[in-house]
Amino acid sequence: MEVFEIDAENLTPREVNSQVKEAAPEYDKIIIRNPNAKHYLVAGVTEDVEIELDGSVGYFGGCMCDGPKIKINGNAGWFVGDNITGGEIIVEGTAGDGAGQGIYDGTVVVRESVGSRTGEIMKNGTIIIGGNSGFMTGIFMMGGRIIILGDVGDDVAESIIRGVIYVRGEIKSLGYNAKLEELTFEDTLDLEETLSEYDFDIDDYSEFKKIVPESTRPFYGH
Amino acid sequence: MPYRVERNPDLCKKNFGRPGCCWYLCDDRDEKICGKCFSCFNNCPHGVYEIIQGDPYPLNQEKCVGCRICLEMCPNRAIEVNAIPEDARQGWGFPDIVEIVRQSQTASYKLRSTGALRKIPDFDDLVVIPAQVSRPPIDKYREPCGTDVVLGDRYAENPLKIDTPIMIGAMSFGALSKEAKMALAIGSSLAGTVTNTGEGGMLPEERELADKLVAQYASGRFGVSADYLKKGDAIEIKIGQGAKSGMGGHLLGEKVTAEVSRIRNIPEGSDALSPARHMDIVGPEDLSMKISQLREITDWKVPIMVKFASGKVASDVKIAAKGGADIIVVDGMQGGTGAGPEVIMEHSGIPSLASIVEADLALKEIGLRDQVSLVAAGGVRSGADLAKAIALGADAVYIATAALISIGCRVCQMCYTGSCRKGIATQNLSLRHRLDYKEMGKNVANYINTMTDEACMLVQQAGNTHITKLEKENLRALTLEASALTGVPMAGVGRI
Repeated sequence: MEVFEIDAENLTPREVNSQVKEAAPEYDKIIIRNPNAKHYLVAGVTEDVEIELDGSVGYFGGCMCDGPKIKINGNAGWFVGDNITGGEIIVEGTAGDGAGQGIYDGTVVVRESVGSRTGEIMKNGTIIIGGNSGFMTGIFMMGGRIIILGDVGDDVAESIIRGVIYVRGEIKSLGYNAKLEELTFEDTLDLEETLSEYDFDIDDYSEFKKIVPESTRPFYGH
Repeated sequence: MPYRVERNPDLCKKNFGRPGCCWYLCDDRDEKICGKCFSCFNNCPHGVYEIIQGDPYPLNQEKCVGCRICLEMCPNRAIEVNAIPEDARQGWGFPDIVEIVRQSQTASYKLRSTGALRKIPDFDDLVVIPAQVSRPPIDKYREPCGTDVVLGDRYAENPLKIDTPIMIGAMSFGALSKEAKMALAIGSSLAGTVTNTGEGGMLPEERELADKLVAQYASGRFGVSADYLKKGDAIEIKIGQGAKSGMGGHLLGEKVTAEVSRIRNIPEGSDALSPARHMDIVGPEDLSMKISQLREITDWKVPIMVKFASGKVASDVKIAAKGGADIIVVDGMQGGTGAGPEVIMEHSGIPSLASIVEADLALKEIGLRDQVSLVAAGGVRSGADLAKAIALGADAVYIATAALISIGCRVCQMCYTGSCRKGIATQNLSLRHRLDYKEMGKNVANYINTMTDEACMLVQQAGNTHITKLEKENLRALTLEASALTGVPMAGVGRI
């Protein structure tokens, strides 16, 4: 495996991203040392390459990528994985608001808790939160699935029109157009397959609650 | 304005003794049903006509908006449509009464296309003053007039370099047909300018045909990916649009065909609803971060534009300019849309005239006027409008409704129904076949070139050699309202 290392200590995000994009077609793996919570790191990378950030990232980490497998060995700021259209992002720590915002495909995993509005306006793909997720998780969701292993805050799935949210812990309240639906056997198999792939060890998959849209057209024409 | 629609029965039946004949735009000719196929009845977007004992009659005259599509498509020239003086009893006009009746019967607000239609101060309220002895005019026939402009060279490695300051504004694939998008792309290329994806993703054909293409980034993020943004020659963050300020775009599932679904990356037949605001842009810092984010994705190569509906223009423009925008677009309340509530179109926003002046002044106040390009949008129809917009402070203009008119639109205001008789705002294949995109592309270019030429005439007679050289001092106002909105002195004594 050919590995390329970048020390981001004294580089701007523009310089880091430029080096990443230059190296991505040539190497199997890129390691970014000292990311120092800089914003926009690894934005818009479209190569199938492994990228490891050895520390925390700021806002919009790994945004709009399509293909790379990104691992963040720390925490992430707001909107980690914003609008990715493929690939995978794993945050080993916590993340701020809007994790996985607007994703079209791929997987965003945050091992600990996240802020509010997780997965807002997402169209497809998967978001897995190992801890809790805050206020209005899944707001304006248009597809895909969110899996939360901990608790979720108020107004979950606010104005959802497509997609599904699974919650293992407590649900504080449902948002407009959200309803609880019975978990099926197929759902549990699907959850098991997805979560075990990311090393989440769950004893009882029947504990999950399933949230879906009440109507696909809640605003008009229904 | 109500209209009187009249059908001449003799002319109507002049061919084969039967009403009309579909030869004009027959999509599926079938002799067995020809006698029942009436162009006026079938093509009126508003249901004005009804068939009574085998003949079409314009029974529902109150529904007519004056688009004259029935007239244009009548093979026998049997139809006349004339505006009649408004029937008003004090403030109670007949259209008001019709609308109240409609609301009371349907319990729904009025949805339509286009933008503000009522009389508000516009470019016609200004004139360009001629140069005479104090400054000599330039000879239109013998001396050149420069029209090229460079937009967005503040931070972008590759700014937009276009041959005319007329750009085609955002209209999405989905709202428009593929053929309409292709015609606009061809026209923009032939005229040496730029067109815009709108918020519905990028058609491969559009990218191929357009020399320069702005990729719009709107709140729903439909069709957005790194690949999409990198294919754009500029990125336009749409915060708002003049026609429906403070509202997101709505594309009903009925228009999300398989192809639209592929381009927008959403399921076929599903509604595409854009939030009223970007979920991650709710303050000045957020906008600045969004601009930086998009720059990182596009490697700082292309200009980042920010488009606003005109409201608190000075504040919004200053925020965008300080946040790092290369180009700012202000869309006045005359700006158009494919679908929106009439109450928003007519009663929200400020006129384009006022927004240009306010934006220009705001950029000057923060010392960024030379660095940030300003694009005016909303109600631009002619070379005169272009010249006046530039004189008021714009560096370029957007045309959108006007560009659609150049390819056949007759402003029937029913784009949202998806049944556009001209093949423009529809995904219906038989209707789309009516639009010859290659010919219409030439029309777009002809129109833009003529507008540019018209503007040059005004520029040269005012004593200038480049289209961008017109200034506010070259203008006079003909109405107090326009003068008060823009600060342009009244003609004559010159007082504001």
